[in-house]
Amino acid sequence: MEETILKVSDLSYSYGSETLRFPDFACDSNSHLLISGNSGVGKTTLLHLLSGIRHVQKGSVEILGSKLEEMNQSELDKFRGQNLGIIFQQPGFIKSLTAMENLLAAQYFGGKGGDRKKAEGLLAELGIPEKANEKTQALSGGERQRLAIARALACNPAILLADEPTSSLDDGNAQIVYELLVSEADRNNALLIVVSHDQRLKSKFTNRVSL
Amino acid sequence: MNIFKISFKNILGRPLNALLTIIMLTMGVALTSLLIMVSASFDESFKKNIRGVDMVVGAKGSPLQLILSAVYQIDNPTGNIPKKEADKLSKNPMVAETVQLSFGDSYKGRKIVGTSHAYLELYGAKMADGKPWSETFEAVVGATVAAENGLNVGDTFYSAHGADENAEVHGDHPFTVTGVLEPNGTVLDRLLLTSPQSIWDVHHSEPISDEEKEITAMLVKFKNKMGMISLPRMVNKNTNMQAALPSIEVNRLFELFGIGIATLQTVAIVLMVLGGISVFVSLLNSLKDRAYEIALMRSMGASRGKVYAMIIIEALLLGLIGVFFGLLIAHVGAIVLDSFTAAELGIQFDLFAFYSGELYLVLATFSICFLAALFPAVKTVKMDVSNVLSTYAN
Repeated sequence: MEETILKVSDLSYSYGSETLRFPDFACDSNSHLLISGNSGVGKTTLLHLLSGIRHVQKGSVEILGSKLEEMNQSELDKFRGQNLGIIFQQPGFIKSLTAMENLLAAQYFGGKGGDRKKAEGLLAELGIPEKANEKTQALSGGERQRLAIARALACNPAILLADEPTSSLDDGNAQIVYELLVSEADRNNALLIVVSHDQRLKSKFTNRVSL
Repeated sequence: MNIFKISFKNILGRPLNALLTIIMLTMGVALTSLLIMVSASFDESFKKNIRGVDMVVGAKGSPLQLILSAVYQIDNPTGNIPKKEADKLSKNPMVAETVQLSFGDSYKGRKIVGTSHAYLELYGAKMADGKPWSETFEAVVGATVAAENGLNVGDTFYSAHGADENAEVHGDHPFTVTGVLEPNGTVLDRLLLTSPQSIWDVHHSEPISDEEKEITAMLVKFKNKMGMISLPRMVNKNTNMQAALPSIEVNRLFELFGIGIATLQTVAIVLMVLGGISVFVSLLNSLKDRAYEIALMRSMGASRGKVYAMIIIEALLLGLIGVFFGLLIAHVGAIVLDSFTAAELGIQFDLFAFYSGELYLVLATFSICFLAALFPAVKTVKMDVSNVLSTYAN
C-alpha cells in the first residue's frame, strides 16, 4: 500500500510585506520528489518549513499524519530529530568531534542515541569507514558530503531532505551524488526530497514540483 | 554520546582559549583558598595560645612585645620583674590563677622556660613519654623540639645564653630530659620546660635569696570579668611592671596583618572576576564561531534546553577544572608554607583538611561560571536557526 508521507496544502509564508506562495503537493513512500525553482522563489524557505525549522504561518504541512502547524517549538524539534534527515548545501559539522562522533551526536540529538552499529554501517555504505576517527576538517569535499548524507540517515528518518546537493558539482560528481542519495534513501527506507535549481536533476525525477 | 561529552569535546577543541580561562580560574581559586587556610590557621593558632590567659604581666615596654614574647615565644622579652612583686599580685582577690615564666636561655634556638606544672595544665599538655620535671635541671621537651633534635627521655643537653643559636653555652649545668610532650598545636610544642630554680641556678653561682629572684613574665587568669577592667590599670599605675591584655594585643596584631590580607583578598577577587570575564568572552567568541554548528544541532533535533544545558555545562566544566587545580595548588602550597610556619610560629596546615570557607569558594566559582555563561547561552538559544542555516549555506 502506498501511504502518504508528505502533504502540503495552501502553504504560504510572509517576510514582512513579501509573501511566498507554495503549490499544493503530496508524495508517498515510493516516489522521490524534486522541488525545483530559480533562486529567490523560496526553495530554502520551503525546505525549512517542511523540516519545522521555520514555523508554518499559513496553510498546512502534514508529515506522517502529523500537522506541523499544530506543534510547538519543542515538539517540532523532537519530531524533526526523529523523522527528518537534512542534508545542507554546505556540509557542516561539529568541529570538535570526529566523523563517528558527529553521527553519534546526531543520534543523540535525534533521540535515538547510541546506535554505533548503525553509524558504522552508514560509514561503510558510503565508502568512508576509515574516516570514522578523523576530525571533519581533515576530510575532503567529497568525503564531507558523504558524511553529511550518513549523518542525515543516522536516526533512520522517514524523509531525507537535501538542499542543492549537486549544484556546485561537475557532471560526473553530480551523477555520483544523485545515485548515492537515491540508493541510500532506498536502502534506509526513506523518502528522498531534493530541493534544487539544478537543471540536470529534472530528467531523473518523475515526481516534481516547480515553484 | 551525551551532552557532557559534547561540552567536554568543545572545550578540548579550543585548547588555548580553555587554557587561558582555566589558568585565570585556577589562580583565583588557589589564592583565595590559600588565604582562607592561612587566615583560619592564624586565627586558630593565635586563639589557641591565649585561651585561659586574661592578662600578661612583665617588664615595662611594648605591650605587643610582651604578649608576643610571653605567650607566643616569638619575640624577645621586655625584661625581668621581681618575683616578689609577681607573688604579691598573685594574691590579689580578683586573680584566679597565675603561671610564672622565666626565660631567656635556649637550646639550639629553642627557648627554655622555667615555670611550674601549671603551665602544662594551662594548655592541656599530655606526656608522650616520661614524666614532668621535679628536681632542678630536669626538663620536659615539646614535640617539635624533641623531633628536631632527637631528644628522648634520659638524654642530656646544655642551655645557651640568649635565644641565639650560636650563643654562649652554660657548660657546667647539664639538663636531663625527664619527659617529652605530645604535639598539641600550642606554643609548648616549640619549648623546653624546666623549673624556675634551674634558670636561677644557671645564672647565679651562689644560691640567691627570695628578694633577688626575678622572673620574666606572669600569665594571669581572672576570677571574673571585673578583673579585666581594674587590674591592668592598677598594675600599670602602681607597680614597676606592665600589664597587657592578650585579646586586645592579638586583635591589634590581626589589624596589622589585616591590611596585607585585605590586599591579597582584593587580588583574589580581581582574579576570580577576571576568570569569570574570561569564561564570558571565551564562550561568546566560541559561540559566535559556532553559531552554524549550534543551528545544525537544532536541525538534528536538539531542543533549546539541550543547547542551553550544553553551554552552561561547558562553563561549569571550566569552573570544575579551575577549582580542582586551584585547590590542588593551594593545598600543596600550604604544605610548603607549613614546613616554615609550623617550626617558627606553631601554625599547622592540614593538606587534606578542607575549611568551610572553601566550600563557599567552590560554590562561588561555579556561580561565577554560571552567570558568565548565562548571557551567551540565552543569546545562542534565541538565534533564528533558519536564518543562520541559510546565511552560512550561501
